[in-house]
Amino acid sequence: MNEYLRDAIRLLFILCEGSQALPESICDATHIFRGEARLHALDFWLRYPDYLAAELLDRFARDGQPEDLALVENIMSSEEPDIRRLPMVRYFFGAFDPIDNAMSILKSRELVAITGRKSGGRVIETNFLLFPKTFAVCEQAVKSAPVLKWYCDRAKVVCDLAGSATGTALKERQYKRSQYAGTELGYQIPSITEAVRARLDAIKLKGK
Amino acid sequence: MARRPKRDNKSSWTANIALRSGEAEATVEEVLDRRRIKAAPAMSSPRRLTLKTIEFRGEKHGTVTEGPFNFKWSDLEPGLYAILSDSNLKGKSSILHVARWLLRGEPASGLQKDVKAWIQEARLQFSLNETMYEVRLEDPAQGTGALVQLTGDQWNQLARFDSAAEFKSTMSEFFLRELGLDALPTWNDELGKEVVQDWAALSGALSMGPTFSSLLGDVNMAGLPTRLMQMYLGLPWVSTYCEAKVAKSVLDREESERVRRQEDVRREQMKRTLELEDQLQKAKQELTTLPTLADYRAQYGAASEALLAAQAQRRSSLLALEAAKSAQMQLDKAERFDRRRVVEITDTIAAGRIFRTLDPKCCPRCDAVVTEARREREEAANACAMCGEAMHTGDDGEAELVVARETAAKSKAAGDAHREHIRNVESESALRGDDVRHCEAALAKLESELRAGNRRNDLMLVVARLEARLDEIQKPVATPKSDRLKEMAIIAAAVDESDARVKEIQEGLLTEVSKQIVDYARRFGMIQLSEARLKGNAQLDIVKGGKSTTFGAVTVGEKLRLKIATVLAILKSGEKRGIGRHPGLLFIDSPGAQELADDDLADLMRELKAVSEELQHLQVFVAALASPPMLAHVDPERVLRKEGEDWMW
Repeated sequence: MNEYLRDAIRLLFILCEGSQALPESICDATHIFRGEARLHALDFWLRYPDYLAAELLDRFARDGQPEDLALVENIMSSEEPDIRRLPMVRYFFGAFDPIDNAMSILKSRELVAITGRKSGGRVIETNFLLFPKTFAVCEQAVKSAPVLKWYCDRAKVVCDLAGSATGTALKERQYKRSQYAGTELGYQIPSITEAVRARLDAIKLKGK
Repeated sequence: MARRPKRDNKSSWTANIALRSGEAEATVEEVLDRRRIKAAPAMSSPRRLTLKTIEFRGEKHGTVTEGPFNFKWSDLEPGLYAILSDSNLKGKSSILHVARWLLRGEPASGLQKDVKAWIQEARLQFSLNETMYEVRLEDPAQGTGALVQLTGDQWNQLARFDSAAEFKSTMSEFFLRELGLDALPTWNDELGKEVVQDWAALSGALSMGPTFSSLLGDVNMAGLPTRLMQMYLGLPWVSTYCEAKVAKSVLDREESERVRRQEDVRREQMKRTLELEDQLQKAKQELTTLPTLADYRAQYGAASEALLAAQAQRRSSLLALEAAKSAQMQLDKAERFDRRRVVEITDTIAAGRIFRTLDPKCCPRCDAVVTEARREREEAANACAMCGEAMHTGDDGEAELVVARETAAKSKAAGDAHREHIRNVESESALRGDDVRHCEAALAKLESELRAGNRRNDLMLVVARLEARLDEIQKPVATPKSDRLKEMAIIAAAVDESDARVKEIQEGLLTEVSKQIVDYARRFGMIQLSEARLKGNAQLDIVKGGKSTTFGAVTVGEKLRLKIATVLAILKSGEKRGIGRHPGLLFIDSPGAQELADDDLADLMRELKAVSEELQHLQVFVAALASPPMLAHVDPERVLRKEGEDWMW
């Protein structure tokens, strides 16, 4: 069984949700997702629901949106940090997992086209072009396989959370999480579930 | 066999008492001295009292012969005198009373108050053997006056008195000393104390009448007649006997008092002992409920061991819990992994189904477009249009999902089972923790009991104190018991010895006196009297007309004669032996009033005169109504008589 298929569909939803419409089509592509680092950063939050929850608690502390708290409660109560976690290894610039295989699945189906800018033979920016077909597949996927809806919803959440921040900025944010930062190079980034649960309990207790 | 006591002198007196009591002579002497029991002094020869002059003056009130009076009767000698008047209440008895008043130092009960009040001054001259004395009562109301003695031609004052009490003690001391009489101590049970019969009482033996109920004396006080008899008989050991007897009574009383006090003390001790024993019992009871120090040590040791054991068990239960938790972590991890795997496979299958519907357009590696030829080949040979690998059959991972689900279910079951196990281990561990805390608390309690455990010490102290106090209380009271008993034995021996001495002499003497009584009484007209027996207790038994009777049972007239006969018999006996103490003076008041026939009175007076001549020193004053027998037998010059209604003074 090809497990890259799951990576491919997850990335596909992130790409769609995190893309912007092109002013004019380039080779039939209508949208663009900018930055591979950004893709990695957004993917990290999907793969580590506990880190996402921590970000949401930060935002709740800042903005006080009840939906954030409700979502965190939902994440924690459905044991997502355990069940949905897909461990990543910390590498020089944060969480890293090669996306080549997943991307080739998307690329061979002509759902994504990789583009970018090069300077002196070195790639300095990787962008992803998306086609109308890409969005149609996403829509169809959620309909035909409801289990995949989670990826679509979560991609919306993380993209909303990230806003217009660049991949570098996002990675820096993630880097700051002490647990994450404390992880040695080449080792799996550990869970912060218990810390998040404690924060949540404290907030709930305070709210009572 | 006890040595027969000799009774010759003082040394044999103490020796005999020592013999009787079994004590040393020195002890005997010390005790007798302390108790003031004197061996009978050597008796001096009898002293003779003779009135010489009776004189008094004053003023009568409320009588026919009102006015001043001045009575004087002088040149009196031994012999029989009579004071006679034709009718009563003319002052006959008063003359005797005044004489007695001056002798006694206090008025006799017969002296009428109004008569006493009339007298403004009184004088009595008397001789004792050859010496002249005079009592001068200068102011009877005040009791002032003097006792004087004639030395050569001079009256020398012997004593001066300024009150009735001083008057009485002056006369008492004088006569007791001069007559060689001892004030007789007697024990009065009613008063519970020693009473000294002084001269006033002893001088009762000098007078008789107008009633004659008592054989001797005029005061019928318990024991007095006996004492008077013994005294006037001249029994040398009587006073000693009296002193010893009184000392014995005092001692007995002291002893019974002491016994009573001791009884009180013993009762009090008993009460106190019971109280203390009760307290002791309670303290001991409480002590038995408290562990001893050894118990404490044993308990402490046991508690320490129990704590160590509990701690060891807790440690092992904690270790077990730790191991179980660590195993649980592994199980949890596996469980999570398996659940994740299920999700992973599920999602992958779904993704695969999405992507399989999309045919590849190009090679993701070289971007070469998938040609129609390759697509046809894939259709025909079921080989991938791009890599040529055999295309997958119907199975897109369902079988793997089934396995993953089964695995997940298993690991969940294992996790659940282990969680149950952990709960057991945890509750076991909690129990072990409780055990440790209980043991620690027990130990702490013991420690604090040991530290603060003074209750036991306190109780032990209390017990020791109570036991000491009980010992103290139950110790026999240290009384010089032997000394006391010694003294009592000595005093009892002194009583016995003096009693024996008195009785030995008295026996023969009383027989002799009794014979003399019969003789005198028959001379006084009691011719039917055949026998008389004067007993040691001064009771007189007689045989009259062949019948036995007593002094108390005869007629008043017979009593008069027996009484006079008895005094005279005692007097004569003393005279004969030269040791009697009766001074030889007698006052007889109104013998004629005692239903005495004139013949009998004649006999009495005649014989009285005869006896007063036999006993040369006897001086008798009789006050009576002037009757022929009286006038016939008293020398006219010795009769003081007032005729008609005249007063004697």
